[in-house]
Amino acid sequence: MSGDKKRAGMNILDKIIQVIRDDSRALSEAVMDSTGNKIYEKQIEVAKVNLSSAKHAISDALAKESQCSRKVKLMKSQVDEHEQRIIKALSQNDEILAFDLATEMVELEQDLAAEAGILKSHELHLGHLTRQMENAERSLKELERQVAMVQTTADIQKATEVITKNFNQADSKMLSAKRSLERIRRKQQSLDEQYEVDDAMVNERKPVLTEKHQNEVSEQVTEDAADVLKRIIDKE
Amino acid sequence: MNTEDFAIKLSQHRTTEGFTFDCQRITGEVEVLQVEINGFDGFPVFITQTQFQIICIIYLWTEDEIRADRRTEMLEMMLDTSISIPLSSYARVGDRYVLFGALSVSSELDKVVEEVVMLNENAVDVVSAMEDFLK
Repeated sequence: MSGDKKRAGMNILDKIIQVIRDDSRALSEAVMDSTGNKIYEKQIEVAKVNLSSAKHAISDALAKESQCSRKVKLMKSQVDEHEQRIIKALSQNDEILAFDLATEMVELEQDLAAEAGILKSHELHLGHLTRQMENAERSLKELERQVAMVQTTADIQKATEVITKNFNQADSKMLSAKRSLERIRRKQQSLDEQYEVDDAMVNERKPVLTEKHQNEVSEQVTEDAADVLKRIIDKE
Repeated sequence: MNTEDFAIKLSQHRTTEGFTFDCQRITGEVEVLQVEINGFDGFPVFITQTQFQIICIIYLWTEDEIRADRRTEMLEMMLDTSISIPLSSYARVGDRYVLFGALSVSSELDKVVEEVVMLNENAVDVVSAMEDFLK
C-alpha cells in the first residue's frame, strides 16, 4: 500500500469518526444533496464517462502505433534489400549501379529515421495515456470505496434509527441482549427442570413397565407359535 | 436480491438442523428485515443492504447498561476476542454495541442463513462472557 493511499484511508476514517461524533445526520448530507441526489455518484458517473473516452483515445493511439510500427518494419526490410543489392552490384564490379542504389538508400534511411521518430513519439504518447488511465482507474476505485464507507455508516445509522423507533413502539426490551439472555436462561432452566421431572417419572415406572412388557411379549410369542403350528397342520 | 426477496426465501427455508425463520420487514428510510430463528432461543437479527454489502446485526447493549468501573476492561476484552469469533465482529452504532456480520451483496441465501445462525450462536457466547461488565 502506498503512503498516499494510507493517508487517504486514514483521512476518510478520520472524517467519518469526526462526523459521527459531531452530527450523525451530516453523514447523509455528505453523500446526498438537498434534493436527495447522491453527489458522489454523479462525480463517479462523470469520472466513468471520462475514463471511457480515455480508453477510446488509447485504442486510437494503439491503432496509430501499430500502423506506424508496420511501416517502420517494411522500410527496414527495404533498406536491408537495398544493402543486399549494393553488395551484389559491388561483387559484379557495377559501381555505377552500386552508387545509384546507395543514393536511393540514403533517402530510404532518412525516411526510416523520420518514421522511427514518429513511432517513438507514438509509443511515448501511448505510455503516457496508459499511465493516466491507470491512475484515473485507481482514483475512481478509491473514490467508490470511500463513498461506500461513508454510505454504509450512514445507512447503518439510519437502519438503527428505524429499528429502535420500531422497538420503542413495541418492546424496547427486545433490543437488550442481557435481558434476552436472561429470558433464554429462564426458559432453559424450566426445560431442564421439566426433563428432570420426566426422567424421574420414567425411572419410577421402569420396573412395572418392564414386567408388564415382558408378560405382553411372552403372550404374543405363545399366540404366534400357535398360529405357526395351525398353518403347518392345515397345509398337510 | 433485495430484503423482500430475502424475506420470502428465508421464510420458506429450513436448514439441515431443522431451523426455520420468522421474518418481519421494518419499513423506514432504510429497508430492514428482522429475522428470528424458530427452534433456537436467541436474538433477533436485523438485516439491511447497502451498495456493496448485506449487513446482519444483533444489538447487544447500550452505553447506559455498561458498568462504568469495568468499561475499559470490557472494551479490551472485545478487542482481544473479536478475531476469534467466527464470521462476526463488534461495532458501535450511536450508543449501541452490536455484533455484526457483513457479506457481499451478491451472496446467495445459504450464506445469509449461515450468517444468521452463527451470529446468534456467537451472540449467546458474547453476552454470557461479558454479562459481568453490564449492570
